[in-house]
Amino acid sequence: MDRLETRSDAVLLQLSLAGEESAFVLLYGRLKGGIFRYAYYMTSSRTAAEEVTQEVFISLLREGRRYREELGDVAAFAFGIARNFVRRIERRERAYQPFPGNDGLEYLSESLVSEPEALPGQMIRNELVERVQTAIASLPDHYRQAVVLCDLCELSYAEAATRLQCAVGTIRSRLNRAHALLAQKLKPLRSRQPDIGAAGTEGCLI
Amino acid sequence: MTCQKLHSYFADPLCVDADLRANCAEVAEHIVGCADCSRFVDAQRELGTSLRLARMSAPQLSASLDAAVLANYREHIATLDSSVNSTPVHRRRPFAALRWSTAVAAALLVTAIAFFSSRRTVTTGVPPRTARLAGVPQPPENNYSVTVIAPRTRRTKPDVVLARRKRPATSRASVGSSLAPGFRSLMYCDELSCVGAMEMIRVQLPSSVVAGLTSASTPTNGVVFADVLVGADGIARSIRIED
Repeated sequence: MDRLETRSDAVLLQLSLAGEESAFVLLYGRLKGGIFRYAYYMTSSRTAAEEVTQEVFISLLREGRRYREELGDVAAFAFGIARNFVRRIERRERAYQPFPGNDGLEYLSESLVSEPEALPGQMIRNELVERVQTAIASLPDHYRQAVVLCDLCELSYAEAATRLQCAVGTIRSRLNRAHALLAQKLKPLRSRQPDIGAAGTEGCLI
Repeated sequence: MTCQKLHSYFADPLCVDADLRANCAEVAEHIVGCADCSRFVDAQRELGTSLRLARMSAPQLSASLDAAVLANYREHIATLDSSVNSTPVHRRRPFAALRWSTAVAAALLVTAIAFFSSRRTVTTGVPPRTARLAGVPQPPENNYSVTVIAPRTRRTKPDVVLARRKRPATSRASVGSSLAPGFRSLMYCDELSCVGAMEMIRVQLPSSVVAGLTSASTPTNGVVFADVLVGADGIARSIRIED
């Protein structure tokens, strides 16, 4: 195992496909956290995230021979698989779970602001987290991907650009706009405060 | 610090450490006099806090998932091993090679048969060659060669066969009754001795050889063309002199 830990993900994948279980365990340990978190933040469901994680590794075993090291690292390859599974789950769940709109957010935030002292701290925090997740889920897909990868999965801009196959500048601009949209969506929590400009950051540029 | 600088200050890095940036002295100094930027910084601070909360809210992976993935891996490897063991390579390859070689040999055989059978009947495009026709008087000492040239038509079946098909009820006691018009018999021919398809070839003969076979005037150059029906045994059956 000590010898394997110095190996790259690509080598571990090859060894895993050849039947070396310790290599697979090591590779799984390296990749599972990122895949699970990405799937969780994208679906807001632990069950769906676990399903995606499991499916990703099954696909990695089946399709691992198609991996080409010169096209990217194994994490990016696995991330591509995860993204496809997340999209599949979103399509499947769309019929059962309608997308929340701004009205729902405002209603929820109003109820939170009206009686904050009546709710225990943990409950408020859970509600806040749920609101943030709902706000992130309501973002357009390309903004949501950027927020999930950079802000929640803590990838660097370069890593996120590699995963999403776009330029670093694109990631930066998407994040900027996504933050402006998120701030707008989370604004009702600060309902008593004066409005930020409707255009987000542009409203402050004098 | 200008408003634009303040926005770029927050825009580039992540919102993770928005609190730190909001507490920066330059930012604090600016937002005292700028209400818009003050609201913007507050919003960024709240956004950073919210994202941090969301980031920390991710649940841990359950041990059951680890076990399930590992079980999937073992099952996958076992399936691979069993498939390899059930179909050993040293058995499969010789059969495959035998199958392929048999198929190739059969294809070659069919191609060869088709090629040779077509060569027997098709006479078009044959380069000029010399042949000695049985039953045809050979030229004397001047050694005139008989040149076979391609016939006019592309039909591979000789006229005599066509003629037989057209008139099957007529008597075939002599070849003259079953020959196409214009042909002269060169030998006795009946159903027993003249079975099978014949080949019609065009020959170039000295006019002296065919002097008794045609009534037409002999060409000045002393050469005439004739169509000869040759049987499968190579013996000429009949001849037609071209005028």
